[in-house]
Amino acid sequence: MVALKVQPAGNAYGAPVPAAGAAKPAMINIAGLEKRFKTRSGETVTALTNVNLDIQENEFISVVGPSGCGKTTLLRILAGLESASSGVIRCDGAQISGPRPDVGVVFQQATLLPWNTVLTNVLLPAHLKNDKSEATVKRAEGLLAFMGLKDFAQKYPFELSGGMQQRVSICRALMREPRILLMDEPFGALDAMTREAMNMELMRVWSEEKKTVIFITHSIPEAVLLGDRVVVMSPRPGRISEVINVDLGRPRTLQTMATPRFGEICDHIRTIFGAQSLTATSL
Amino acid sequence: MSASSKRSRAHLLQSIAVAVILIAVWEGACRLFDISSIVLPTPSSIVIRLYALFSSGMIWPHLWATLIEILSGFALGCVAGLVIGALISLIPVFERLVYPYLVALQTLPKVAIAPLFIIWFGYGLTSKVVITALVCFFPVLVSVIAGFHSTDKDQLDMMKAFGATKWQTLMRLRIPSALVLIFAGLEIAAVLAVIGAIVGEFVGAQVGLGYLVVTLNFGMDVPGVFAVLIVLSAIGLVMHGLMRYAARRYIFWIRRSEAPVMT
Repeated sequence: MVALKVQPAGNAYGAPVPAAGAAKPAMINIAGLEKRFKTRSGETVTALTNVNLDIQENEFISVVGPSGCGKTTLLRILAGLESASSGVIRCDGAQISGPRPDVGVVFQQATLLPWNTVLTNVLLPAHLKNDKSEATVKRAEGLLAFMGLKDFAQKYPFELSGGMQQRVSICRALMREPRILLMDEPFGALDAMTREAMNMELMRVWSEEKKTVIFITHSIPEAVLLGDRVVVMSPRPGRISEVINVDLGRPRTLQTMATPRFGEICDHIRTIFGAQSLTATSL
Repeated sequence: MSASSKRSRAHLLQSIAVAVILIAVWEGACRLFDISSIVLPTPSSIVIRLYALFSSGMIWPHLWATLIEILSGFALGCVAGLVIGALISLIPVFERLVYPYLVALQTLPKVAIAPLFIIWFGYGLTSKVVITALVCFFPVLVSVIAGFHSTDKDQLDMMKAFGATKWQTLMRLRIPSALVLIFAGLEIAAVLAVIGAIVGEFVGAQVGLGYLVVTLNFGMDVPGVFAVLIVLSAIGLVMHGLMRYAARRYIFWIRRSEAPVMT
C-alpha cells in the first residue's frame, strides 16, 4: 500500500490545505452537517452525518463516493435546494438558506429548456432577473464562443450532442458570474472520450475565470485530475471518510493521468473504498 | 429528392394500390354475386350518390349544421378543459374539491345523458354543442392535468437554483412542458368532437349529418348512408390533421421519431 501523507503547507500552485489553523478564513464552512429524510413508509434515513469541511475561495474540490453516499444531497444543500436537518453550512459567514445569486449549478442532466434556442437557454438566468440588455446578450455569446459553441447559438438543444448540451449548461451556470460553481456529476452521462475533453475544457474555464468549484463525481481519476482536494465519502450513512490533498502541479493535462503520483493518489482512494466494502461485508 | 421522401412516396403509392384493389374487389363481388344495394351498395353507386348529394345541394344545410356543432363544441370543450385542468393542477384545493365530481361525471356514458340535454337545451343547435363540448372536455382536462404533472423534476430544481419565482417557473417551464401532453389531448378531442355531434343528432335533431344518416337509413337509401359516412370521416380526418399540424408547429422540439406519424 502506498503511504500518502498530507502535506502540512500550501503546495507549489497555491492550493489551500485543509489545515484547521489556516490563516485565511474559509469561504464555505460546513460544520456538523446532518441530513435526514423520511421515507414513504415513515422510516428515517440518514443521508449525511457529521460532515465537516472548510472550502477556500477559488479552490477546486472534487467529491467522490459510491452511489448512496449523499454526495448529491450535499450539493443540493449547498445549492440551497434542500435544508440541513442539523448543523451549519455557511458561505462568507452567512448561513445558506436558499438559492444564492452568486452560485451557479450544473446538473447531471443538461436540463436545457428544449423549446428555447441555445442562446436563450444561456440567457435564462439573466431573463429571470428581467435583464434583456445588449451587453448581457453579448456576454452570453462570448461564453458560447469561449466554449466553442459560437455557431450553435440559434440551434435547439435537440440538435446538439450530449457533450455540447452539457457545455451549454455550463455557459448558463457561468452567466450569473458566480463565485461558486456547483457541479453534480456533470459528465456522468457522456462517453469516455467526450468526458476527457470536457475535463480539459472545465480546467480551462476554471483557469481563466477563477471560481470556487465543488465537483461531484463517481470517477476516481476524474476527481483526482480536476481537484485541488478530493473529498472521499462513504455511504450509509453518508459521511466524509478522508480529504486528500492532490499535490499534482498545474496546469494538468491528460498526460498528468500517466504520472506515477496520479496513480498513487487514485490507488489510495481505491484503498479507502476497498476498506469500506470490506467492512460492509464483514458486518 | 432525399431518400426518406422517396421512400414515403413509395409507401403512399403502395397504400393507394391497396385501396384501389380493395375497392375493385368490393365492386366486382357486389356485381358478381348480385348483392342487394340495401345490404351492401357498390362503391360506384356510393360515389354517384355522394355526387348527387352535393350537386343537388341537399347536403349543404346538414353539413353546415354539423360543422358548426363540431367546431363550437370542440372550442367550448377545449377551453373548459384547459381552464379547469389548469385550476386543478395549480390550485390544490381545487383538485380536492372538484376533481372527484368530474371523475364521477366522466364515468357516465355521454350517450345515455344525451336525451337529457335535448330536454334541457331543445332540439336545436345548443344541445348538440353542449354534448360535443362535454365529450371533448375530458380528454383535454386529463391531458392538462397529466401535462402539468409531467414537468421534469431536474428542470424544476434548475429553475429554483437559478432563483426563478413561481410565476416564472410556470410561464417558462411548466406550461411549455405541459403542451406536449395537452396537444395529445386536443388531438383525441378533435376526433371525439365528430362523434359527439353525431350522437347528439341521433338522439334528436331536425338538421345535421347525423340526422341525415338516420333519415336516409329509414328510407332504405344505403348508398346515401355510405356517402354521408364518407363525408363524416373526411371531417374527422381534417380535424385530426389540423391538430397534428398545430402540434408539429408548437411542440417542434419533440423529435419526429418520438411522435407517432399518422399517414
